[in-house]
Amino acid sequence: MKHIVKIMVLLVAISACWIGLLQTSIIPRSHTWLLPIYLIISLGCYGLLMVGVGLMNFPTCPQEALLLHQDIDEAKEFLKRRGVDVGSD
Amino acid sequence: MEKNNRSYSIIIPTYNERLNIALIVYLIFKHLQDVEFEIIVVDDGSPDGTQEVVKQLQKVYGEDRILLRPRAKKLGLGTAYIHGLKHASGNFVVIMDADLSHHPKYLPSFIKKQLETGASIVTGTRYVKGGGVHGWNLMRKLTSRGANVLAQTLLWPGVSDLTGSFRLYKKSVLEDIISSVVSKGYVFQMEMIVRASRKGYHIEEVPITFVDRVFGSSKLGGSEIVEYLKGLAYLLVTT
Amino acid sequence: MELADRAVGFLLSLISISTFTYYTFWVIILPFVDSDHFVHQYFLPQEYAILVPVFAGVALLCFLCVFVGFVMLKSKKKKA
Repeated sequence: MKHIVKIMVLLVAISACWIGLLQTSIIPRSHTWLLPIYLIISLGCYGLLMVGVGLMNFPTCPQEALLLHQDIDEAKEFLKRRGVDVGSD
Repeated sequence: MEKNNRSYSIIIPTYNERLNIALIVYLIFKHLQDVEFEIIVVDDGSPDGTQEVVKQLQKVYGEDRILLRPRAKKLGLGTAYIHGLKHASGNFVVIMDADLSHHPKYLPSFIKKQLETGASIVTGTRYVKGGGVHGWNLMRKLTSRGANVLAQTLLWPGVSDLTGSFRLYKKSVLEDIISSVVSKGYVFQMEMIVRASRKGYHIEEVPITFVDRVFGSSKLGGSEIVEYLKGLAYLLVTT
Repeated sequence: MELADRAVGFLLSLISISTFTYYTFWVIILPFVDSDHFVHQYFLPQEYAILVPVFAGVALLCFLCVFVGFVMLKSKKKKA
């Protein structure tokens, strides 16, 4: 099944539930009208939270840059001796 | 273990990487000592003499270990892999970038992970413990995180790093999925892994670090963001 | 640099969590509180609970469309 279909099915299911709620009016109508907006807001907040948390825990590795530098020097040294042209960038 | 009949082909597309290709070849030979492998350099007609350097490297390491498979002009990343794949003799294929943002020291962990799990694809991920990125500014981090959250929520790919391009594939699997991939640029990497995941291939992850040496070289402008969004929409309706 | 990035991440998380709690309280809990209760003075009337998000959503969508359109137009010019 195409992925967009899966998402559509999910959306349709949610709206079906919502319409059901609207029809049966278990909770006050003005309330039910707010639910979809509430859902969208929740989704937006979730996205923002994930971005924030991701940014907060963004793994960085400054020590790797130093190690790489050492490796590069080592490689240059070796290759120069073997006659590979590593002179200029 | 059936280690003897395992061989690896490492495909490295290059364009103007005369220094980096020499360094990366040295580092690959340093870190992969008891493994049978070949390096396939697909050079897109670099004007800076990348191919001469590769020829010199062939003299040092042997022409059977380093294969130069040049193309006449810049034809794009996706076709570079297809081109390299045609000449690959190993039963596993590793693809990685030539600019040293992918360090060859992680190759053994890819191989080990594959041996342990029997996975069809092992992909390097930067966003887990043990992995990491160096040299990105706030804007770059923000867009990368945002793009990742968007893709995770919309596509449910089951892989934490979609746009990374340091991966090990079973050769047959790569041949299978690469033929159905149409995207270009780095959406290409995302499409590969999403298609693989949809086809039900076993995908494993290993942490890698990503060092952006030329600060800001992987700049993300407006057009890249739009390309990414287009790619996302395309993947939504086709996979 | 590093710390500043993390601070921005923290700020984003904080904004999202507080928006969510505020809105939840506003929409879900407040109608069950007596209308002469003192907490009502901290919230706008209910109809704003629809108006504000819709307005913000439309603004965001417009911004996105303009951005995408602008970038596409620019890249087309470059090609030509």
